[in-house]
Amino acid sequence: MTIFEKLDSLDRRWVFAFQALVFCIVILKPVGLALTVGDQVRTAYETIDSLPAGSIVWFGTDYQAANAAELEPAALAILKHCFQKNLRVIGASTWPEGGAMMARLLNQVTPDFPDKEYGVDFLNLGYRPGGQVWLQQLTDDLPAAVGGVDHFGDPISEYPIMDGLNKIQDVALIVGIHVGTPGTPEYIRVITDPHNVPMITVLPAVSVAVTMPYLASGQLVSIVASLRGGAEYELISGFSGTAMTGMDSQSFMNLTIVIFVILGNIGFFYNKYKKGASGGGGANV
Amino acid sequence: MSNDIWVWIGAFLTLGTYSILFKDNPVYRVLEALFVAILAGHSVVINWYNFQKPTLTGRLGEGKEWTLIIPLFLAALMYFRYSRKYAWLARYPMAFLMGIGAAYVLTKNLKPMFLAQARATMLPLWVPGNIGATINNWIVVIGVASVLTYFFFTIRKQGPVNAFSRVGRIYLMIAFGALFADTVLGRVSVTLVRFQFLLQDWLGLGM
Repeated sequence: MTIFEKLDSLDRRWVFAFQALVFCIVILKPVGLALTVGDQVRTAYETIDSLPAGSIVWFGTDYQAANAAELEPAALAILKHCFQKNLRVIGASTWPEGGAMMARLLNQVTPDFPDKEYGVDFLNLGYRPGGQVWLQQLTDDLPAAVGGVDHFGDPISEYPIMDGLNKIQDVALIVGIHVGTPGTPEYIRVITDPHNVPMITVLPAVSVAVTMPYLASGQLVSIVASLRGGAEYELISGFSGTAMTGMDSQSFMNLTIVIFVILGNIGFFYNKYKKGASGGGGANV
Repeated sequence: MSNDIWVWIGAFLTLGTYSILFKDNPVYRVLEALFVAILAGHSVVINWYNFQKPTLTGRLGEGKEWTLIIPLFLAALMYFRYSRKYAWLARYPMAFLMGIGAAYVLTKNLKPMFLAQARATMLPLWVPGNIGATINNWIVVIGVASVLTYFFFTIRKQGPVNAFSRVGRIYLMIAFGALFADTVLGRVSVTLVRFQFLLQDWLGLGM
């Protein structure tokens, strides 16, 4: 069996084992590859940075625990940036786990900002069912749409942050942390496009390509994409976290995958050529 | 190495889940069922405490918003799906939901999802002094037109139409490649965070 035949029939478990080895080596011995901030993240940062103190930023935490690893670094850096700029933050979700995800974000960030007070500087409205219809309700009567209570079941009318906030159009910016439906398109349909509310969206890598058209059409301010976007936001904001430290591993892993794809294709085409040369034919590509 | 029991549980769950990469095994099966069960149970509890209970006790109970009985009644009809004899009753709330959904999508989608997107593809094919933008616009316009041609099935594609349709096919292949690469990138990110957890939080290495 030639090396090319071996490549073509390589047990995928060897690939997994090699990838795990690469991860371990680079996590334990990072080489410090250069990281630059892209246009998208820079736009997101500058948008938040330019908001006047006291403005309300709406965090749509429409994701679940399974997506936290990919999205949380960016969400945490943005939330810290908001608190640093003295912006007020309100979180809510159309996903059942979203309220807990917002609470998780706040629990990680608020110890660094002990002067921030629940109900004054930030609020977690939690999950509400209804998806896009609920989002529509937020544009009509926000307090009624959330049933008058927050994530913990306490009445929101007692919180100063709710003063003057009658509709979601009253917020200065929406930061959507989205992974599916309801997500970015639903927000665009009923809130950001008809009411001209600016939105930055934090997305997993898999959703970026299909969301780019909304950026081109001007319906989105910016996309902060995946762990890479999180690392860039950590870099530009100065709030270092897990994303930046993982970028070496991510880069090496991507390189490993590209090498395996090239080797696999070399094996495939070589064997195809060999079969064709020996009269054995070959499958069409 | 961590002294936190929850970190150990997390490490066990992570390694148990990744064990499927070696071969199918009972530990993975148990963890798969555990994940589904936790998600389902969590959704039920959160739905009850975040919306259903406050609505029933607050708006319907104390607020006396009697009109809420209508959606409550329709929701109750859904449970007739479990009865063979009365399953037809569940069609009414379903029809209601489909009607609302269709009307809602039709009225809400036109501008943001169609007109705005169509307008975003109507780009100038010559941007004075900016060759990069000019090339970008050509790529977008040819891409949209050729992919639409690819999905045009009313006439037999021959000659230039067929050639243009093949350009659309190439665009689609590139888009699928980008989507697949994005998916791989996302999975790598998730795996990376898990490895950071195992090596650093659990084993205490490379801190």
